[in-house]
Amino acid sequence: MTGLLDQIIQAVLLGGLYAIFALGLAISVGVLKFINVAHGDLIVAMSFLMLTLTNSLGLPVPVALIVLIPVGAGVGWLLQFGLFQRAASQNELQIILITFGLSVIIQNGLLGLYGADTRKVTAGGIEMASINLFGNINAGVLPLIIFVTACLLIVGLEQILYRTGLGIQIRAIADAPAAAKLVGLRLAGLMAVAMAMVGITEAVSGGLMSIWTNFDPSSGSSRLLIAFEVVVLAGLGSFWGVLVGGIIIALAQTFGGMIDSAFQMLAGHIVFLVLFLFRPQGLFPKT
Amino acid sequence: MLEVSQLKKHFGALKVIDGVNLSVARGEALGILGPNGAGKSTLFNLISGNLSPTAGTIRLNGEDITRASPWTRVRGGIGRTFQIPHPFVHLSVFENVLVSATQASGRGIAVARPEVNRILDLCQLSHRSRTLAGDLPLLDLKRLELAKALGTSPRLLLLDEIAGGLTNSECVALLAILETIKSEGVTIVWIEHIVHALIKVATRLVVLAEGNLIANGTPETVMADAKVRDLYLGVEA
Repeated sequence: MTGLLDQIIQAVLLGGLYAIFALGLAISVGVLKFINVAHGDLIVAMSFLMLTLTNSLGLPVPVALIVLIPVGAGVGWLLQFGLFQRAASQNELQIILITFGLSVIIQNGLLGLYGADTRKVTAGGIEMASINLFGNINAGVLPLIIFVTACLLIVGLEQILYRTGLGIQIRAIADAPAAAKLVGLRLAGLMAVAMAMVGITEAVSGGLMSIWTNFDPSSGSSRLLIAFEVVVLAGLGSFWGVLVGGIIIALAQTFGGMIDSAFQMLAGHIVFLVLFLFRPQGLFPKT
Repeated sequence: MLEVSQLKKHFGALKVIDGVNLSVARGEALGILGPNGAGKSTLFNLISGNLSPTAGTIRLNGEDITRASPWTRVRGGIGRTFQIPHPFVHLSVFENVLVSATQASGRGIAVARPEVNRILDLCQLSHRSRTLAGDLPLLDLKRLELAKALGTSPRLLLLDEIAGGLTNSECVALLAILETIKSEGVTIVWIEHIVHALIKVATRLVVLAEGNLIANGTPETVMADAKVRDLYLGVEA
């Protein structure tokens, strides 16, 4: 019984990482109205940048994480302003194809720069550190930090989108871009700000992922798949729903792995498909 | 305040606006009449920047805004309502007006809040402040459309059939709001089919038919004009 409870807690914490993967995609789909196929690759690119900052430049891990955030925001802003915005004015299919092309470019760029080897950022003692939650149940400090970070990101995003003028304008363009234009909102600028927010989530998830798990230049597609499943499962009604979606996928994988380790990833996909069949609008749809 | 010269909008062979000249003085309330398809809403789309003209110029306070973006025009003082309301359905009534109020001035929520509350009071929407715009009945949607336009602090307010679909008593309530807006010095240009409502606010009327102005003058003169009675009211001269 303790073992089962322990597995559940680890899965919930893993759900935090999955939620961070998915937050950026939720903003892409909910606000910018397109699926960024390069989302996972951008996360992995941030992981490699984290590797460079820590291994090559010798920055401490927390400092490197902080450096990643403005870089992520800048990359997001530039991508939206310089690339996606131009494509968005054409048609919806074109922008998806462009992000697909971007995905290929990032993967091959990373392959050229870093090679095909699997990498991981070493964060020292914190990787193995754990704290006792209660009884015999322990939780790793790093997974806990990642889970708390996911919660803080969600609180931050909700505060920005619901409590600031800028956020309400971003929600307005997500709701009705044509109507937003008619009251004088500058769509291109606001969308670039929204994409900068996506970039921040990509930087945070890439940075944290690089410490938690191995990655290589082709890891992006599996991250995109997880993010995609979490967003569809959650619906677009609430960022907290994204956290719940992340936890559900992580729990499914954990229970699948308990049956058979080969069944781990498949279990996540099966649970996603079953829930999608019964609730295609997601668990927390926009009302 | 507004000068429209030789304005044309052609869609292929279809001449929706065909050489319209129109000037509106500061503080004036101008009514625009015309049968369906006369080009009234297209004229508003050209003035507010949602469409680009085929030819002609539009000047606001002497400045040429013919090619200016819609948001530049909003910041320049042009506010507009639509015949079919365009609310942000997933935002509350308060947030809908806040979007307009914060964008026009770059103000934060705290600074814009008193102005938004004043507009909601004026438009009789205070009691609906927290309601999602998607849940509003027609009258309140019309009020919200007006409130959103007022949120941009317009000096020139373009109203596109704001009274359409309202009952008589609702129309009376709307007229009281418009009178208040007018008394604050806002210039109004109002497209409307409900003539008895229009002439209560408008100090001048123009009539548009087939992309051209066919009458221009005081409400009494225009309503007595033979061409207007024939083309618009369907009364033989």
